[in-house]
Amino acid sequence: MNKNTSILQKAFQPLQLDAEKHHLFFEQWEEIEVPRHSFLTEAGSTERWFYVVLEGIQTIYIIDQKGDQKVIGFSFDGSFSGVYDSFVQQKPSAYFLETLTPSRLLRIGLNHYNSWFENYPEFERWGRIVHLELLVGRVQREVELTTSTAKERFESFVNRCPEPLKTIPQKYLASYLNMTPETYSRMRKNRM
Amino acid sequence: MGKVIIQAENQLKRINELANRIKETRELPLEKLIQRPKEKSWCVLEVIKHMSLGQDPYNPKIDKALSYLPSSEEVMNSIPAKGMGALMMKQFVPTESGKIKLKMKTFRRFQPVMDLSSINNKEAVHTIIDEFLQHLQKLHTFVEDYRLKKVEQKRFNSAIGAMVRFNVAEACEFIIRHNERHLQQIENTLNTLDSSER
Repeated sequence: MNKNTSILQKAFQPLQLDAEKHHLFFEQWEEIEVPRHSFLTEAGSTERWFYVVLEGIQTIYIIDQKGDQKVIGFSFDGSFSGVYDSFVQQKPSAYFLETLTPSRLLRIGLNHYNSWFENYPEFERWGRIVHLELLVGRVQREVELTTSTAKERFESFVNRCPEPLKTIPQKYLASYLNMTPETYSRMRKNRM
Repeated sequence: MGKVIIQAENQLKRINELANRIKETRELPLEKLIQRPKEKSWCVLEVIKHMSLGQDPYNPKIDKALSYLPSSEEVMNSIPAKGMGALMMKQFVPTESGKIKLKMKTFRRFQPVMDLSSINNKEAVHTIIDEFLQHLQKLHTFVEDYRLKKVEQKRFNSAIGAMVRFNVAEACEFIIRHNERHLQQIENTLNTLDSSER
């Protein structure tokens, strides 16, 4: 098993496939390399791919009416990536998906993605679990953004912050936590 | 009226939205595209041709400026537009009700000269629409390029001369606003044609 296959398998846990399906599934992915600060998807364009990140950090953000960037989330080594709503609905994206570091990703198109659900019942179970996790995660974040203070959001994030995200410019993390870079920087200093 | 703030990602989003809307016009019936709402007004196809003509003089200027600009490690932050260019851009924005302010006479070289009676098939129409879509694609590439360059280091004359000078980001903003203004004109034209059918 090569390294990419092992990353894919880990990303798709708890999916279990027999040897034949396993082979078919893994050979459908295409590997790409993109430089830092490239757009994988742009607002106004339609997402064509579902990604698994092999290496690198990407951010998903929206440009608000005033032209300010509001970070919605990140993807990094071993996680899924892409603008999922645009991908499944094939409608123009409201978000940008941009690489913050040079990135290697595996990607797959909608026809292949849909064919898993149509042909393999194992994916129905995987899909149910993943969509549930996504929903719970989004609700938790919404509650945190509407009820927690900036300090509480900062502390909560620092405690669960995945290692790769500690290397990216603070302005992205500050925006994700809905605070100014200055507030983020002050809190970080106070914590040291 | 506030400042004109330029931001690369915001421009890309608007270029994509313009392209999406223009692609939809490809599917309109031929008569809707070549019918003038009033005798002296442009039809949809003439507006689209005018948008291509409006960008033409900027393409070589922007290409040249981009080749001169040094690269930047970081993505460009938002910048305010300056000078006369900023003033013009402010006037370009249509009102919320779709009314176009500051109507101006078009310079002769930007006038879409075409014999509408000779346009009798979709292929001829598509050539004009696709030409503009290629312009939008070029504009998109300009924005992608300049967001990783030190854009404020080079200014050049606008298409109307030295009275208005732009850096690349301002020139792109000017073109986008010009296009958005004319997209509104297209919507107004289509609405007029629709209501005259009823």
